[in-house]
Amino acid sequence: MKISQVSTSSMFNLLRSSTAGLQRDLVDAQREVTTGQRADPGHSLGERNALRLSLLQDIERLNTITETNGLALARLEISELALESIGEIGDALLPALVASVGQGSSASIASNAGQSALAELQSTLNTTFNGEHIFGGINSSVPPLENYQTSGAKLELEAQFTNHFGFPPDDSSALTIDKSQMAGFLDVVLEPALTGAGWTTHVSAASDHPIRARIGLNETRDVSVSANESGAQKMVLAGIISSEFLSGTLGGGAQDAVLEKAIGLVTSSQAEIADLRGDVGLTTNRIQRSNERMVVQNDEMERYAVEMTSVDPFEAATRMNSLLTQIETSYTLTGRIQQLSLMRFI
Amino acid sequence: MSLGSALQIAQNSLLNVSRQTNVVSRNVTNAGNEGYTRRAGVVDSNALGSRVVVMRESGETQLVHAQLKALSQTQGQTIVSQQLEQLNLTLNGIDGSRSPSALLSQLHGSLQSFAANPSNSALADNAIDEARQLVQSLNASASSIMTFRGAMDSQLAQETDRLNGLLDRFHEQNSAIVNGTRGGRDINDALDQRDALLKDISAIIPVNVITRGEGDVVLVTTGGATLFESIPREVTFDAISTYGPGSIGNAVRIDGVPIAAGQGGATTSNGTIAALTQLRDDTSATLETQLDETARSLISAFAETDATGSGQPQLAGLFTWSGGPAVPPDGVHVDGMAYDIRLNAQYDGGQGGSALTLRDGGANGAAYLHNTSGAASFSDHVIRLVQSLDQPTTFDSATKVETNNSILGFATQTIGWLDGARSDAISALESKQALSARLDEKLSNQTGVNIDEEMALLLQLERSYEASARLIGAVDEMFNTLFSAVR
Repeated sequence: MKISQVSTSSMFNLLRSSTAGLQRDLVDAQREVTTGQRADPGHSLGERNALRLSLLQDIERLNTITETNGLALARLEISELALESIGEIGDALLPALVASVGQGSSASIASNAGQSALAELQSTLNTTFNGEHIFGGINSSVPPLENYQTSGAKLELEAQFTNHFGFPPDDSSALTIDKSQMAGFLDVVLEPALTGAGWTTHVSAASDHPIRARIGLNETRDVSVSANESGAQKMVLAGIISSEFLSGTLGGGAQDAVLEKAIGLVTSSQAEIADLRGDVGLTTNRIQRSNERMVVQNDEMERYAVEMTSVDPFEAATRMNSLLTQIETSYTLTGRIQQLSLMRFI
Repeated sequence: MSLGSALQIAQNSLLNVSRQTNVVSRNVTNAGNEGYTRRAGVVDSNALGSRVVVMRESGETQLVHAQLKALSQTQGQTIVSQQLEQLNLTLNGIDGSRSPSALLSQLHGSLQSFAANPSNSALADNAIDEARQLVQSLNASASSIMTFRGAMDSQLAQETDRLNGLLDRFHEQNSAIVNGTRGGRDINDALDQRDALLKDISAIIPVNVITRGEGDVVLVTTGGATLFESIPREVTFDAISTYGPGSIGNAVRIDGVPIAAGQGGATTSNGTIAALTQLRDDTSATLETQLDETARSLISAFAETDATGSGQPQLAGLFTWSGGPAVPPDGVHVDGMAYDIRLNAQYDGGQGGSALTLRDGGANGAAYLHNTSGAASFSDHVIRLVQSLDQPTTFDSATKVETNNSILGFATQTIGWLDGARSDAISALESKQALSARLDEKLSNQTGVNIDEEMALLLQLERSYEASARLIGAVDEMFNTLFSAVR
């Protein structure tokens, strides 16, 4: 009858199968030692891997938003610089206008100043950045202002003038217009014709609708200034009237009316431009804070996501060493057990 | 007692020793054969001294049953683990790198870039490209699941054929055993073979073995169906060569009784048939539903809304399907959506559309045009689309993951679902394999051969042979003495 409790094949197979298992573990341990991360996060985390992947995805998303915020910030910065230069144009125009009040027909300095202010305004409001006209609102593919001399605004001005007084601006009868008549024309006829609704019809191709951007996961904000802002309208109108009506075609009184109107427009515009710059600053600040928050959030999420799969390098190294020792022992044992046979002794 | 009979007994002893040596040599030859059960040459007394009866060792019945059960479990779990791993690599890539979730994330990134710079049509093209890749990935994943189901189906057909073949051979061996027992012949080899067949059958389907008289056995599946009783019962299966969306596969039937599929990553499937059925019907169906829901929610999220405020219905936008331009109903799974989802031609420059439709809207006519002035930097519509990826929406509960989730969240949840199943499967496989190996070892210790023992036995037989030979010599000498005295 059988006495032994161990069969030869189980004695040999046991070590073989345990060695195979150890080798499999060794491959994983090796990977974990070199990367410091779990060899297969899906296996070690199971369903919690969804959390890790969604964290990684959120990080990716916030990163994209932070990157695109860079573009919005750059656009805002250019807008801010342009607004600053509009303010400076006003600063340069104002002394020329003030100096010409009551000087009769010698307003050509103011007229020249008005023309150059208009040209500068046009080029500033037509500033492009990254292929977009930044003052165009959403209609950024078209320059907001045309060259005044060939624009619809000039035609409109002449038409309104002729319609109001019965003769064109360059007619000699223009000299007969007195101060109050001219002031009436400027306030009641010309201003409504070229600003407000008239502005978008005759002067500007810009859209009222500013460019909007998504600056946080659930936050959108206007990130451009439109040329249709009333501050810009007033400054351009001041440029138009001072370049059109101060070239000596009008009498002294009417010219004073023009100068006073222009001075009024420039000062009120400058206040509004300053407000706009304040808004731009606020938005810039808002985006920067949103960026900072997202960066902090990202760091936190990244730390957590990495922690979920990280392996203590010392633990992994120790595990690998002990696996190596085990495998070596198992080899030695296999060799010795193979030699362990009664055959060698009989 | 005469000298003659002493000689005869010694002769008989020599015969016994040689027969026992024969048994020992067979045992040694089969020491490495796992299906071999050790024989013992047992000496039995009879009129002429003794004769050798060859006995077959047998394992404890309980142990044999436990081992067969462990074998079924391990086989089922092995298939489930391997195939889940395979599915994970096919559908999600390493650590989700090729999953719909990763592509969605990229689409989100490119849409966000486009939203920040809507006048740049290259960014729109890029976003459309990402969308196209997402569609292609969904289509490819859906069709690879169908291929997978077809592959499982044909494996089921193979396993069914194999099972029928095994049962036929089982029948042969069983008859040999019954007849051999009746006729008093050596049935040990047939028993060995029947045990080996039983192991093969258990790998395919879990069986209980009921022993009857004359060595006959009855095989009953753990589900209660009779698999073998005197003759094999018929195992049938109608294979389906190609699987389409929502196809329903046939069950393997024993005598008309269907074999139930197992469930879960640490599967309850015992044997290959239950495991393959589980993978084909349960796992694949869930994965398919998840992909379909991802596709459906994409169509809804990117649907175009009425821009005029006149109450027009939402219509399919960037993503559309065969039922388009209507938008599929919310929260209800539609079979084959992932296979069906397409990029709307209106957005595709290669199909006569324009990538800028993404910015302007209007793929469904003027009422859906949001950027009415055609402004270059109109970003509201794109921003709405990007944000829709974050909006919580409702998914069908058949997806087996959280049903109230954003699309991005849902897509990562589906990876988590598969990872969870996979993780369970790997751990369960380890423990089931360990149990199976331990039981194998134990059974092998009970019924296997130990060469050392056989060698010791051989020494004993040598001595016995020597003694018998010496006895013959002694008797011979006695006869010589007798004859010389007589001479």
